[in-house]
Amino acid sequence: MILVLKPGTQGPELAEVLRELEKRGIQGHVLPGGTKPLVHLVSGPTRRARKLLKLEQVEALVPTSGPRVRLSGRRFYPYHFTNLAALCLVLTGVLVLLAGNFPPGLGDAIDPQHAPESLSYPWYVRAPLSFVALFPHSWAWLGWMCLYALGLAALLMPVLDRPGEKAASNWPRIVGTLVLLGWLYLTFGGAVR
Amino acid sequence: MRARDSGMLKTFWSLLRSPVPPTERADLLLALVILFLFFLQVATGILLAFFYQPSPVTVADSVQLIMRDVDWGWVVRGLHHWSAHAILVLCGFQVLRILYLGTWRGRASSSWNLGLLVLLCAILLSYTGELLVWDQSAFWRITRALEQVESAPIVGTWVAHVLRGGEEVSATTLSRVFSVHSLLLPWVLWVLVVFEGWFFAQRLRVAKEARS
Repeated sequence: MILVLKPGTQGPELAEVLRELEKRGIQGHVLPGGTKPLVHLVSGPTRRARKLLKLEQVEALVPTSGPRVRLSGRRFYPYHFTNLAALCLVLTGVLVLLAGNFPPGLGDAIDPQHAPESLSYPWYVRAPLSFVALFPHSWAWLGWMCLYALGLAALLMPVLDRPGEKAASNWPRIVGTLVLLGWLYLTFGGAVR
Repeated sequence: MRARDSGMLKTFWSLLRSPVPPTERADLLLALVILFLFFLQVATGILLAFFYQPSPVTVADSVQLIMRDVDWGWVVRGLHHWSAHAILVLCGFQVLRILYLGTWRGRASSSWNLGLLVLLCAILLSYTGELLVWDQSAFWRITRALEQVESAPIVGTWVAHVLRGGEEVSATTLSRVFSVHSLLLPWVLWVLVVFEGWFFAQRLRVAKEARS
């Protein structure tokens, strides 16, 4: 595989590319001559070199066999389309297997006078319902207000965490992780099951 | 004149042959898998609607008919059920992916907002779908859920009253839940998906111009 660098890439910029290659365990050497600097990847996991397309210095990656991978990427059809079709086919197979082995059931007839002793809720609504259930019945509105506020904050995150700052802040990830952990706890260990 | 050279087909063909930047590849594939599952939901939903009868008296029989007597009915209902769960998992994964990669900051801020709305819409679709079997569990689930929704401030009472269609859960409730599940929410989701596709195309165009 050959890594094509932008014209004029030399010195520290070239060294950075070589460092990135070394980090990925790929051995390569710079080919002499030509208008664009070329790095011949001779051994190691050369498929990992695709990630180097993100580097500014890299223009293209030319495999010794198969299609050329440009910075602009492979064409959707046929390359990604084939992958997508295969993925969808496998996914459909898995869903048919699930449908056959775990078919959705039909419960007992309705008795509007007597509620069942235990009522199970789908997994995806247990967390918000458990959260509201944490509040006493007369304070349930506060639980809903907290959920509204959380949803609104999530929607406004691109505004709250403004782009263009010198150092990107990490608080959304931390808050997001805490919310996710809380969500998982309430789903599997909350009052509503 | 070849068909490929004419109007819309030409645009479609050039779109299909567009290069996908490596940075956008995972986003695109994930979005298209979700879109595929959405189409699967629509197709299986239409097939189920041929036999499903949203009336408390006949609903159980119609579901039994789908599961036992209709050819491949169990597969269609199973696919509809499990693909809904798959959509929820993938939409949740997409939102988490945007969060942890931090792409909501710039180019994909619209994906973050639309991703959250699609997730919310998918949750509502799945939940209303679970109620359509109208058995003992579904009846009491919607009764309790509407009581909870009623306690929500501002819109809670109104939403609960509209969905319930009166003071108590009844045939009207089932009819309204069916309408929301099969008519309202799929269209809302479709509009969100179209917006998402349009924003994604914009991102690709900007990236292409920046490179050139």
